Order: sequence, then structure tokens, then C-alpha cells
Amino acid sequence: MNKVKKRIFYFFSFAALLVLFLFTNSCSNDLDVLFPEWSYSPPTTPLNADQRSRMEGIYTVENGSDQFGSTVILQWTTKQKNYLSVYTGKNFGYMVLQGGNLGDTTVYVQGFWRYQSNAKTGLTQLQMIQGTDYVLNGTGNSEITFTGTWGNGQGNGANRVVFKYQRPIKQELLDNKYYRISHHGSGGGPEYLPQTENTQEICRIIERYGANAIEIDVRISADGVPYMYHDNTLNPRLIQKGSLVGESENYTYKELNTFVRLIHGERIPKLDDILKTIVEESTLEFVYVDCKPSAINNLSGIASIVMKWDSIGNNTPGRDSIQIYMAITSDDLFNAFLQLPNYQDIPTICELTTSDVEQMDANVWSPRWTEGTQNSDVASIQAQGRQAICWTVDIPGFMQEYLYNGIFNGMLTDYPHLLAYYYYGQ
Amino acid sequence: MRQIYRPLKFLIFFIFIFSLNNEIVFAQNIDKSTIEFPDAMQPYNWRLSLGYASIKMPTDVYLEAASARFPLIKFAAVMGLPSNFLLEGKINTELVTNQFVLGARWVYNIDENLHMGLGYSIAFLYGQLKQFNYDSKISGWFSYPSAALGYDFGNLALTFRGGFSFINSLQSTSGSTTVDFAIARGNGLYYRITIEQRFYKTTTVGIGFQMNYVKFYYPEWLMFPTFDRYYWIPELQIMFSI
Repeated sequence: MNKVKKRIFYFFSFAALLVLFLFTNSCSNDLDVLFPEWSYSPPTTPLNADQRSRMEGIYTVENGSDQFGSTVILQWTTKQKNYLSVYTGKNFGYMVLQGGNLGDTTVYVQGFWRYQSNAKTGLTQLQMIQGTDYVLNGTGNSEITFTGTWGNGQGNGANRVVFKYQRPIKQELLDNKYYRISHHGSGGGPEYLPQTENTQEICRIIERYGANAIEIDVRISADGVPYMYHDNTLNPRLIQKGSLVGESENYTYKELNTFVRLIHGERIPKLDDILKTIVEESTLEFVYVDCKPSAINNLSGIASIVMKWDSIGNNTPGRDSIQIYMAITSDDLFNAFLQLPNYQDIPTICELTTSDVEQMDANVWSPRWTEGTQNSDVASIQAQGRQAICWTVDIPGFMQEYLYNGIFNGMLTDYPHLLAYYYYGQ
Repeated sequence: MRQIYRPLKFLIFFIFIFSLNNEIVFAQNIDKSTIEFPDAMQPYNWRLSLGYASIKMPTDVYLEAASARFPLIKFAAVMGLPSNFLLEGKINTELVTNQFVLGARWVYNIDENLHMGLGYSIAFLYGQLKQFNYDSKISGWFSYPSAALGYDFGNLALTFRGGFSFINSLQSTSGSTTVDFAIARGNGLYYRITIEQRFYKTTTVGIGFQMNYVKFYYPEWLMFPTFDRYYWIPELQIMFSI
């Protein structure tokens, strides 16, 4: 091969590889998730408890089933009384709507629908056209019908939707304590919800997304402060561009609080702050404090904060009971935990074996879901007066199997709204 | 660049290997020693290759505290058939994840240097893990129709192949429960660019870059992804004929 051809050859092969490399760097997996908002909301009055109760239930989708499935479940959020959650079940879908009594003539709600698996979303609104007397005054026909519209993205849609009341949610399902535990307050990724996982902000709103419980992740900073963060490192999945890199445990809490902004702009909270928010600003019933490896540096600190807020939560007038547990997730943490004085008095979850659960006298056993429903082991644990939770179940078929044929007391999931759909639809 | 791919260090390594060998290989023609290049073979002759792929999973599927991961080893075999057909088989394995591919290609010489090929493969996926708190399995069937265009530079062969990925069936089992696991039937597409040249004596080295634009990427099954969206997932591949 002569010299010219050789040079062409070299140039071509290296250029081809370089172009490819640069091209593929432009192929981003980032997802731009829209959170659409209505520009105008008519003034409404929140419904009272009886009115909300009469309206909640299973509805048939008479128009819009291609989008939302054949049945949906309507449930009001307890704490924020004017928020209505609609669990649609199809394509991991749901609605979060806001509204109430409109001029004593109807019930009107508006908000957005979303498919959680790919973040398709749009505005939606519903108005009660039948059954208003029954809902607002407890009189007349209980045949409730909503009609409304849905669209795609930020635009007002013209797609029609009709929900017709079928039946109430079974009372035993409402009374039973089955925990739909939001996996670190994430909808699969921090960009899928309007607030970032493991923050006070997400704890305030996660019930609108079907959760009645939450799992949060605690680490220990360089100066011994328990703080909330899931990943091993400060990375683009969870934080905005900033000056701190590497493991979050390398920094003091003041440095993390000052220099780190999470994806939606929040600051990293302390364990004490997030539990305060959960107890005082939500009606979440169960809190799973997942101890990450660095928790070994201040297990007693975590335990005292957990016990403090568990006590406050269960002695706050007007607040329903709450269970707050610290979760022991590894052999190292297990051995360190057994060294704590009076460890039997600390409310705990154990992710290890059933014999470890007994040895540390944990309140809850929490195995990984990939080992199956394990009904005999779960029954054995429950017979000891303990509870059992599995983690983290996201696949619809497994979620249904574990709910209908398993005997767990709850389930960690990234899709609590889907679990609510399956649970309340029984 | 928002992301620095780990394969960058492999890219530099590969360019270095190419540079070292170029003086030797210019004396040796690439004919009759390629795997990817759409080149007709003598009927019932075989060519085999063994390789490795470095892959980068999307972070919202992989997270950081993910399941056990293993390197992706690739074994390929191509056999010539009459009338410009080739029969190819592949085994892609990560130990806990195994994909067995069988397919056929038809190749055609547009001119002395420019060749084309059309192909269709079916693949069986089987994965199993019974350690680390897993009692999980996966199995399924995939289809990969493809087309390829290649240019023979004499001492080097450059092949561009593109194709689609379809999930015919996919099931996941944990404990005693089995569920349908297919996120979608139309799974997406891929393209691959491969450069093959003589490495040493009769051994050929091939460096390939494959970009997958898919919803479900089979090595990630242990993360049980549920996202109904497409991901760009790059693979940097190196293979040696054996």
C-alpha cells in the first residue's frame, strides 16, 4: 500500500471511531418529564369526611377506557383534603386532581393524568353530573357519574372521559393495615415525580400517589449527622451540577446542605427533619428507615431519632398511629446493632434471615421479593407477633401475586398507586 | 460531555492495538477471515470468534446498588452455505444471563469491494440466579432481522449492520411465580459498526461499536426494569477469530 493510501486508511479508521464516539455521546437517556398545570382553577370548597367517603369507590370507565382501562378507583388524600387520587391501573397510570364542592351544585376536580412507566402525561378535569345530592347531602340516588376531558402535555384536551360509580371500596380493605410503601419516595426515578426522593417535600405529597407508608435511606455524614440520601455517590441521577463529588459521607452535613441541590432543587434533609415532616405534615402510617452502610458510624444516633419521632407520632392528638422503624440491612450492621444497650427496645426491621430477626428481636422481617412469597416463613414470623414486608416489587404480575396469594403485611414499590389499584379493587 | 463513558479507555486501547499491528497487517489481506463482513464463504467452511463486550447500562435502571454483574462474553460461529448463504450462531453470556442466537444471512457482492447482506436471527434468552437472596429465572424468545453493508479495503474490512429487535415471548419467575415480563413486543433497533483486520498470522481481530435503542436490554433482566421507554445502550466489542 503506498504512503498516500496508508494515510487515508489511518485517517479514515480513526475518524470513523471518533465520529461514532462523539455521536453516541449525544444520545442522551435523560427524560424531560412535564408536570402540567392548569392556568385557572375555579374556587371550590373541600368536601367533609362524609362527603368524601360517599364519593370514594370503584368506577367503571364508560368513555376513555383505551386510555385509563375499564375500571378506576377514586380516593381522597386524608391530610390534604382537597386532593383526589384516581388509580387507573393501565400502563402504571394514575391521576392527581384537586378540587371539591363547586357552588353547592357539583363536585369539580382538575389536575393531571400520568403513565408512570414513561411519563406520558396531560391535563385532566372531572365534573360530577349525576349523584351530586347524594355526595354533598347524603340524599337521593347514589348513581354517581363524572364526565370530563383529558389531553396530552400542557394543552387543554378535548378527549372525553366518563366514570360511572360501581361500588364502594370494601370496608375491610380500608380498615386493614396493608402498607403500600413508597420506595424512597421515588416513582422509579427522581425525574418521574415533582419532588426528589428522600426529601421533606416528597413526604408531604407522596400520599397523593397512592402511598400510605414510605421507605427512606439514612447515611452518616463526616461529622456524624444522620442524613437522607440513597446512592453511594453524589451523581447526576440525584443532584444538580455542583462542586461536590464522590461519596456523600466524605462531607459534613453543613457542606452537603450548603453545596448540594437535588434534582428538583431541594436540599438534603437530616433524618430528624424528615421524620418531623412525616409525623406533623402527613398521615403516613409506616416509615422504613433503611440504614445504608455508613449508618454503622452512628447507629445509636439513628435509633434515638427514630424512637423520638415514633413516640411523638403516637402521642400527637388527632394523628392516627404511626410505626417508625430503623432497618438493619447487612451483617455488619446486625453485629453492630447487637452491641447497642437495650437494643431490644429499639423498633427495627431486619432484612436478613428469620433467625436474625429473632436474635435481634426485630418488629418486622423484610426479605427481598425475589425469593418468592415464602408464605410459611412469613406465617411463622407473624405468629411471633411480628410483621413481614417484601421489597421492592414493581412488576404488575408479581405485585398481584404477592398481594393476592402472599400474606405479607405490606410491600415496597416504586408504584404505590398501582398497588393501591390492585388492593382496593379486591 | 455530560457522561464520560468507561469504554473511552477501551477505545484508546483499541486504537493503540490497531496502530501497533498496522505495519504487520498491511502485508496480509483480510479476505476469507472475517466474521461480521458480509462475505460469501465456501460451503460448509467454518469461522469462529471469541470476544468481549463492555456495556453501559442506563443509570435509572442500574442505579448504584444494583445486582451482581458479570462481563459479557461473546462466542460466534459462521458457516458457509451454498448460494451465498451463511449460517451463524452466537452465544452471549454473562453466566447468570445467556443468549443463544441462531440465524442465517444472504450476502451479495455489489462490486469487488462493496458487499451487502440480509439476515434474520432468532435468539433464546435464559437467565438464572439462586444466590444473593435471588430465586429468579428469565426465559424468552427474540427476533432480529438485519441488513449489512461492508467495504473491503484489502487489509481491513468495515461493516455497518443495522437491525430491529422484537420480543416474541418473555417470562420471569421468582420463587414459584411466573409472569409475563415483556415491556413491549417491538423492542427497538440497533446498529453496529465493525472493523476487522488481521491481528497476528491467521488470527483476525474485530473491534465493534454497537448502539442499542431498546426498551428491554437482556443483560439487565436482574434489575427487573419496568420503564416503557427506549434507552440508548452502547456496547464496545472486541473479538478474535479462533
